[in-house]
Amino acid sequence: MKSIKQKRILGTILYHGFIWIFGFFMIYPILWLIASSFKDEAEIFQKSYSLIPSSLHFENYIQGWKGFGDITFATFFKNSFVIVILSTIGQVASSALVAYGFARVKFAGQKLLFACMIVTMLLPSQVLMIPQYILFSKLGWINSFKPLVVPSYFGYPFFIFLIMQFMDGIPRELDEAARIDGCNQWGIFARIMLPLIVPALITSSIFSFYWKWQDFFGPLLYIKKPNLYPVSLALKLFSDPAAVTDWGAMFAMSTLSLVPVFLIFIFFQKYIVEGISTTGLKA
Amino acid sequence: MTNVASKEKKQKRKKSIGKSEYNNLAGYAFISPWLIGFIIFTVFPMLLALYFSFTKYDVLSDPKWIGLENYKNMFTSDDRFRTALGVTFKYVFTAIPLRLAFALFIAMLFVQNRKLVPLYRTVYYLPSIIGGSVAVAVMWRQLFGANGALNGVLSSLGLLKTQISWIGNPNTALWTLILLAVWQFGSPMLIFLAGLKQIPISYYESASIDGANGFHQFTKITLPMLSPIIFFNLVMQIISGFMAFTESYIITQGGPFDKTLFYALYLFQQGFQFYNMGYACALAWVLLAIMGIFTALVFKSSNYWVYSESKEG
Amino acid sequence: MRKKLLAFLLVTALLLTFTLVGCSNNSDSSQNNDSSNDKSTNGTSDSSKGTSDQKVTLRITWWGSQTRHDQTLEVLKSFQEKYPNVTFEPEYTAWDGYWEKIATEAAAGSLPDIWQQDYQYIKQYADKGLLLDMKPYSDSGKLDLSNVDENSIVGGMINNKLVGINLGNNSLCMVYDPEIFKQAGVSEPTPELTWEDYINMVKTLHEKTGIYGDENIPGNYFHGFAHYIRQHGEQYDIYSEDGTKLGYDNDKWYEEFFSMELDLVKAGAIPLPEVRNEIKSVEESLIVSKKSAMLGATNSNQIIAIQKAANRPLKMALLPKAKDQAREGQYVKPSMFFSITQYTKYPDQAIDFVNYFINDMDANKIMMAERGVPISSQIRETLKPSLPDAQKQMFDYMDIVLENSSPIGPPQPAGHAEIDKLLKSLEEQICYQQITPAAAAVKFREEANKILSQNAQ
Repeated sequence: MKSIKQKRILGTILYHGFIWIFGFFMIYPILWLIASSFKDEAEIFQKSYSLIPSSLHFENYIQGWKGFGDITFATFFKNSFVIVILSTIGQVASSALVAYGFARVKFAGQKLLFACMIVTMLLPSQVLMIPQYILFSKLGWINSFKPLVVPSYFGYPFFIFLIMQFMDGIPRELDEAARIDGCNQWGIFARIMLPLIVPALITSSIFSFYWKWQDFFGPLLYIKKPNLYPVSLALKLFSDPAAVTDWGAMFAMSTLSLVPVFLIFIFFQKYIVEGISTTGLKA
Repeated sequence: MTNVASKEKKQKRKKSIGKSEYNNLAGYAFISPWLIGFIIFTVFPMLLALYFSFTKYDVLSDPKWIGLENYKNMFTSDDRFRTALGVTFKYVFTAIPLRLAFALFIAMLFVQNRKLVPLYRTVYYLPSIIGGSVAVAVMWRQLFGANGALNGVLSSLGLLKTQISWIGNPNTALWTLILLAVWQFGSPMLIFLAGLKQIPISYYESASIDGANGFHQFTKITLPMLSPIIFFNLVMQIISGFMAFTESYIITQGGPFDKTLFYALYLFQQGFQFYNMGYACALAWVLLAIMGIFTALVFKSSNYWVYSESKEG
Repeated sequence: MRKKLLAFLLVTALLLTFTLVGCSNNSDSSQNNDSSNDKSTNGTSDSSKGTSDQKVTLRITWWGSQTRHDQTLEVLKSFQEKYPNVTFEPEYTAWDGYWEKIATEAAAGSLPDIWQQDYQYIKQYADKGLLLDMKPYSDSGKLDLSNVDENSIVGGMINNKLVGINLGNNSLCMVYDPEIFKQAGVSEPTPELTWEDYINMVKTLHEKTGIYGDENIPGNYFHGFAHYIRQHGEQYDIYSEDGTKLGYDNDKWYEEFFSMELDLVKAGAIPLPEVRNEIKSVEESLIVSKKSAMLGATNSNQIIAIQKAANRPLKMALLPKAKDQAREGQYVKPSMFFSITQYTKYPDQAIDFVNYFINDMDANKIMMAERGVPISSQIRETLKPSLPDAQKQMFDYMDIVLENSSPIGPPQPAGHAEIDKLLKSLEEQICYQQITPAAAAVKFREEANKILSQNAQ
C-alpha cells in the first residue's frame, strides 16, 4: 500500500516539477517584456537578461498612454475592442452555421464548394492585399472599420473547418433522434449540435479575438485617421529606426495590450473544460 | 445474418437513400454566408491576382500582359525562388512536427483535472498571444543576440568560447525562428485540449475495467477519437507553415543572405519592395499549387487513419 | 447540377473582375483630367484669390516616431491659424509599413495630397507621373525658394521637374566617442582623414581597448561603397545617370572596398554582420553601450537621437577621403521630401502649406530641425542660436560638409531595392568568407545589370 502512495506522490512531484521548469522557459520571454516595461531605457538594452528592474519606472506607462498628438491609448484600446468584438462574434457565429451545412447536410455541389473553401486558405494574403483594397475602395469603405469587420460575418474557413471536425465527433444518432422528435435542420443545429460543440466555439472565439487583436496590415491599409487606429497599429508608431524610440513606453503599451487577450483566455478556458459535462449524454 | 444478406440490405438502403437524402435548400441556406462572402470578397481578388500573375505590374502604372514569362523566369533563372522554397520546406518539416508533438504532449498533461492546471494552461498559452508585434522581435533579439540572455547564461557556465549571434549567424538563424514557432505551440495545444475533452470519460473507465493499460488506452481510444482533430491540426499547421511570414519579417528580414527567406517573405519583397507585383502573384499561385498538393495528399490519406463518429460503419 | 453551379460562379466572378478592373482604370484617367484642368489656372493671381476663400481639406501623410508626430501636428495647427479655410486629414504611421501603404494607395488611385517622400523612392513615383511638378510655383514665387541654395533643390528635381521639396539637409557622418579615443591614445579624425588613416585608426582602437573600433565600415555596404566609387571621378557612382546599368566599370574598386571590410572584420576591429544586423534602432547601437568607439556612419540628423541614447558627448566626422581622389565622395543629401500628388484637387493650398513648412519661422521653431538642417538660409541663421547642443553640432557639421562635398548623384532608379538586397547579401557572404571579393564583384555586376536593364524598356 505504501509504495503505491509513494508512487503517486512521486508522480505528482515529477508532474508539477517538469511543468514548472519547462514553464519557466516558456514564460521567460514574456517576463522579460514585462520587466522591460518598467526599466529605464538604457537598462533595457544594457542589462537585458535581468528580469528585475533596478527601479520601477511607472512613467513608461504614463508616457506611453499619452499616445500621439492628443490621441491617447484610451482611444486606441476602444477602437481595438470595437473591431475585435464585432468581428469575433461575426466569425464564430457565421462559421458555425456554415460548418453545420458542410458537415451535416447533403447537398449538390458540396464537395466542390468545400474544396473551394480549402483553396481560399491557400492563397497568401500579401497577394490579395491590393485587389481587396481596390474592391473596398470602390465600395467606399476605406477609412472605416468596415473592411475589417464586415467580411467576418461571411464565415472564416479556418473556423469552419475546425468546427466541422468537432461536429464529426458527434454521433449522427443524435441527429436522427431529434428528427424523429420533429426537429428540422435548424432545430437540430440550434438545439442539439451547438451545445455539444461549445469547446470548439470557445476555442474559435479565443483565436478570433487574438488574431484580430494583433492584426496590423489590415488596419494599416484601411484606417487612415489616427483617431481610428487600433492598438496594434498605434504600437508601431513608437519606433522609428532613424530617430528617437521610446522603448520604455513601447514595451509598457505592448504589455498592456496583452492584458485583454490574457483575460479573455483566462475567462473562457473553463468553458473548454466544461465541455465534458455535455458529452455525458451518451448514458 | 449471412454476409450476402447484409450486403444486400446495405445496397437496398443506398438505393432508397438516393436523391431524397439531398437537402439542397437547407444546405445552401446554411452555407450562404460563406458562399456570398466568397463570391464578393474572395473570388474577385483571387482572379485579379491570377490575372496579375500573367502581367508585368509595378503597382504604380497599369499591368502589361506578358503571358507565361513570370512563370518561366521563376523556374529557370530565379535563384532566390529556389532558396526560398528550400528554406520554407526545411521550416515546415522541422517546426511543424515538433510543434504538434509538444502541443499534444502538453495537452495530454493538462487534460487531467489536477490542481493548478488552469494556471498551467494559461502560462503555456501565453507565448502564443504575444504574436507578431515589434516587442517579440526585440525580445527574441535580446535573448538570442550576440549580447543576449542565452549567451550570458552560456558564458557564465563557461560553455561559450566566442560570442556568436544565434539570430544573425547563417548557421543558426533559421533555428531561432523554428524555436520561435515551436515555442508558440499554444494554439494547436488548445485545439487538442478541446478535442481531448470531448472524449467521454466512460470510454476510459470501461477500458480500465477491461484491463487496458495507459499505453493501450492512448493508442486505442485517445488517438482514434482524436484523429479528426489531429487531421485538422496537421492540415492547418502545414498551411500556416508554408505561409509563414511574420517571424522572418520582423526579426531577420530573410537574412543573413537569405538563410531565413521564407517563401511568403520573398513574395512580399517582390511585390511591395521591388514593385514586381505581377511576379509576386505568380509566386503566390505556385505556392498555392504546392500547398494544394500537400493538402490533397493529407486529405486522401485521411480515409485510412481518421476515424469519425459520424461516419457510417 | 454541379456543372451549372460552377459555370454560374465563374461567370459571376469574371463579370465582377472585369467590371472592377475596368472601373479602376477609368477613375485614374478622370482624376488625371481633373488635375490637368487645375494646372491651367495655376500661378495666376485668380487662383490665389480662390485659395483664401475655398473651404479645403488636405490629406497629408508622413512617417516618424512620437516626437515627429507631435511636432508636425502642431505645425498643422499653426498653419490653420494663418489659413483658416484649410482643414487637414493627417495620416501618420511608422516607417515600417509606410511604403506598402503608399503603394497600395497608388494602385487604387487614392494617394494623399501631400506626402513625405524619400530619395530611394522618388524617381519611381516621378517616372510614373504621379508627382506634381512644383517648378511653375517656384518660378512664380508662390513657393518661395529665394533663400535656398541650388544644392538643396537639385535633389528633388527628376526629369527636369521639381517633384520633391527638401525638408532638411543631412549628410553621412561618422560618430565617435572622444573619451575612448583619448584613453586609447588615438588622435581624433580630421577632415583630411584618408582610408589608410581610417584603417589604422580603427585597428589601433581595437587593439588598445579590446572593444570594436567601429560598428561598420563607414557608410556600410551601400552608401560607403558609393562614396568610395564617387571619389574616383565625377562620372562615377553606383548607378549610371539613366539608371539602366551600373555607374562604374572597374571591378577592382569593388574588390578594394570590400577587401577593406573583410580585413577589418578579420582583425576584429569591426563586428561580423550578425552582430550588426541585430541593431535595429539607435538605442541598440554599439557605441551607446560602449562596445564600440565609433558608430560606422549614419545620417547627420540622427546625431540628436544618438546623443540622447548615449548620454555622453559624442562628436561627428567626415567620411574618409581617398588619397589623390578625383573628387569628394561626400555629398549633401535631402533627408526627406514633401511631394504633392499629381491629381490632387487643391494644388495651390498644398503649395501654400509646403511653402509655410520650409519658410515660416514659427513652424521651424516647433520642429527644431528634427528632419535635418533647414534649407532656407534665413531660417538657419535665425534658428541656430536657440537650438540645443546636439542640433547645433549638426548645423556646424553641415557647414563643414558644404566645403568638403560634391554634388549628389542621380536618385536610385527602379530596381534599387532589389540591388540593395543583393549587395548586402554579397557583403555578408564575403564577411563569412563564402565568396572572395573578386568573385563577388563579378557576380554583383552580372546580377545588378540584369535588374537594371529592365529600366531600358
